[in-house]
Amino acid sequence: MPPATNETDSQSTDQKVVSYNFAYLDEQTKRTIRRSILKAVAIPGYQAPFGGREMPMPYGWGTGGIQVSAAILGKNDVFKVIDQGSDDTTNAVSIRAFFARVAGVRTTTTTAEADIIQTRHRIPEQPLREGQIMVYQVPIPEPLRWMEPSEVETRTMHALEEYGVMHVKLYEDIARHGDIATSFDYPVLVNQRYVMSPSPLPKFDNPKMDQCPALQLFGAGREKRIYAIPPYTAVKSLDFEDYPFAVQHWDKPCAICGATDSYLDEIITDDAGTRMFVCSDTDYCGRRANENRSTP
Amino acid sequence: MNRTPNPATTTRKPVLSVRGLSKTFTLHTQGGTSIEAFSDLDLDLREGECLALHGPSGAGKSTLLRSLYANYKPCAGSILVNHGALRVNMATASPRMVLSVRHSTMGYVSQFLRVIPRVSSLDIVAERLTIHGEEEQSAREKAGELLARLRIPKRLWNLAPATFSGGEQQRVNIARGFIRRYPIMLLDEPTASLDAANRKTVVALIEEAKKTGTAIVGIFHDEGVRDAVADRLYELRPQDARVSA
Amino acid sequence: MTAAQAAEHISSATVTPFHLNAIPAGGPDAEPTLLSVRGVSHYYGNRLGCRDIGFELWPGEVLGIVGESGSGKSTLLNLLAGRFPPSIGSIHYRDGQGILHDINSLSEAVRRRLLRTEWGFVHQNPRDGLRMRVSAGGNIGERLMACGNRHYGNIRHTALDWLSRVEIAADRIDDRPMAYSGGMQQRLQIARNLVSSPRLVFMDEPTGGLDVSVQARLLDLLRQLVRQLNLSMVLVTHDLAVARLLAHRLIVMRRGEVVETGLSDQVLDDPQHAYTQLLVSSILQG
Repeated sequence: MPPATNETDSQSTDQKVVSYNFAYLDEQTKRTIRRSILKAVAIPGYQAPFGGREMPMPYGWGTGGIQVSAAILGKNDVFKVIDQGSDDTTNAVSIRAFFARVAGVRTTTTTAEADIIQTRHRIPEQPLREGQIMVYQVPIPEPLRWMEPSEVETRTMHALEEYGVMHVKLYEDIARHGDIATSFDYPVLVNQRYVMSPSPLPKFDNPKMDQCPALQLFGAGREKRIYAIPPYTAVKSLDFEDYPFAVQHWDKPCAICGATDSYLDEIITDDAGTRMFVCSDTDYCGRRANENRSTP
Repeated sequence: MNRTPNPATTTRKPVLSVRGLSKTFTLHTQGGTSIEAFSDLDLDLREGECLALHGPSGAGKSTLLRSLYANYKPCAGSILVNHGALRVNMATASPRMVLSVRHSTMGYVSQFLRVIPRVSSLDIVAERLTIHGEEEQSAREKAGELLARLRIPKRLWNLAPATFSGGEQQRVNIARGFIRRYPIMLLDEPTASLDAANRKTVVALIEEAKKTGTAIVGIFHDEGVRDAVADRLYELRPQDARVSA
Repeated sequence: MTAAQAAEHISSATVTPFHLNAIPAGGPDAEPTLLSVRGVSHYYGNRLGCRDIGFELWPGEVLGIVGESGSGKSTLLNLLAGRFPPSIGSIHYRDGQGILHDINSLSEAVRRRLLRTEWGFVHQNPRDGLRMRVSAGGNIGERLMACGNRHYGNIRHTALDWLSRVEIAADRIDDRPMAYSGGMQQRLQIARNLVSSPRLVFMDEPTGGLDVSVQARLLDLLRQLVRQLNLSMVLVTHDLAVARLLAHRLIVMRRGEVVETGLSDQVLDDPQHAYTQLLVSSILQG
């Protein structure tokens, strides 16, 4: 984890807005968030509450992730933001620009260069390394919510490890669709203790969370919850013995870079409904396409 | 009609002994009216003998029979029953003890069949054996034999007796009572609505039960049946001025 | 005294007199109890819920609690199931391993474990006891999954078996309870509770909202299941016919207090207390 500095003096760069504290949030707020992060790291998969602040953007645009990023960002960190795997969507560009302005940190689109990667709904294809931190934007942190509307009840269920209902959900999938049809937000068991929602990741990315060398932090702004997976923690996707967990597969490789090991998005290319499948991770795809061009 | 007690039976120890038994109904919903059914009755019943309760309508025959079965709660006195190695007072026994006595020691054939919805005649009878651990198959075979003996047509065996005639229901009831041997049996007008042929069958069933040692207390309205099965009569007289406010 | 009686009296003079209450040990009451309730009272603020209730429940026994609405039946049922503690008194439960639990001081974890393994709770309204948005199969399978079953095929097989036991067609397994009739919902709730082979089932007016014909079917089914599974049951009902058919013993309650207890047929055929007589005499003769 890069040192989360408490710098308050303005080390202004060209981009930095001097009138804001480093990384937008005041230091006291950052401290409270860090305390919640520490608790979350200490109890992998447990949803630690935190005193969320109003951010200059609506809920649902990543307020949870931004507050976590703001709390851990150091001035020498390199920051990357992806939205559904892409570095160049509105959301990704805006958040990257936000931290470039209020913290003056260097930003990147290259996974390997980044110290902190804030993400919405994807994990990069490039394997993560020690020292990196993934920051996930989470809309609904409670995996039991689908079965149990009461917050008091879900907390008790977590406390007592009453997770039978999670399998009821998977049972319903198989009964209805003949297979576990849940392909996003596929529930996992963290460190053999807490059932956790992996935010709306495609289940394709679930195996990447298991024994991951990077620290993974999850921030839910609306529900004001932070949870975490420390490096090298067991993350198991729930399943049945006779219906084991499996990730998605595609018949064709990426239409741009030819990758067969990445998560593909379906793109409609004209009004006639022509489709192509391309990598959702733009950084990965772009780099592979470049390599393909340079080594014909 | 009084018969000299068979000396062989009187020397045997009684399986059922009633001492000082009294029953008075207090009707709280009708201003606390008391109706005395009988008072201070003594009675002994020995293995293999049949005692007929005798007396005019309203003398308390049915009430006594129900009291012996602990269906009614006596006000005073005791009803001692040999229950395996135990000697149980039915007048004061705990509900579980009463159920245990009814389960294995004391059978009861009521005047009317309390119909259980959806249970077939055959199963109503066979159930009495299966609850004692008998295999379902052989229990149903025995139940069928007894129903056939009581002239219940085979087509009715698999129907619930709710729609049967009174006589048919009564015969199912008798089959249920006699499918298994109980040391003591209480019979409340078992032949009330039966024709002559079926009455004969019931008399034969009672005689067979007696031969195996079953002691019987019964109310037999039909004189022929009573003469045929009863070893002794037990006279009950209507109480004078039994109603007291 | 008749001649027969006189003869009888003489012959019985040689019989050793027995002491009336000297029932030797070893009878059915000497067996270990499943549930033991002593001096239980509950107050809602100043208002009485129930007062000084005490009884024992043995394995395989069905205890009926009867009385009008507001008589404290449901309060008592909730106390027994440990849903809230009584103001005074103790409730002990002996679990499958023979360990005695004080229901009042049970940890939430143990109480909930009992509720999904050794106990069942059948609510009057099936909506309170079912997951209405989960298929029938999922409803039945939940307890199995909660107890660690992770084999879809086995869970489904057991669910189908239980559907047939409660007389629901196999092809309704993937339907949600919303699509079921009231009687089917109630039968599904019973299957959902019994699938884990509980030892003790609490039932709150199980036939409450059902048509008479549907009631009969449910009662017969319950009667069979109780016998087949040697279930113990505490059954709260205001319907005396239900009590007669299912319960071995009855507790009659009025205004939070027990006014009469005893063998079911005796309480109903020869009620002693004025209130029980009133209840029994109020039954419509059908």
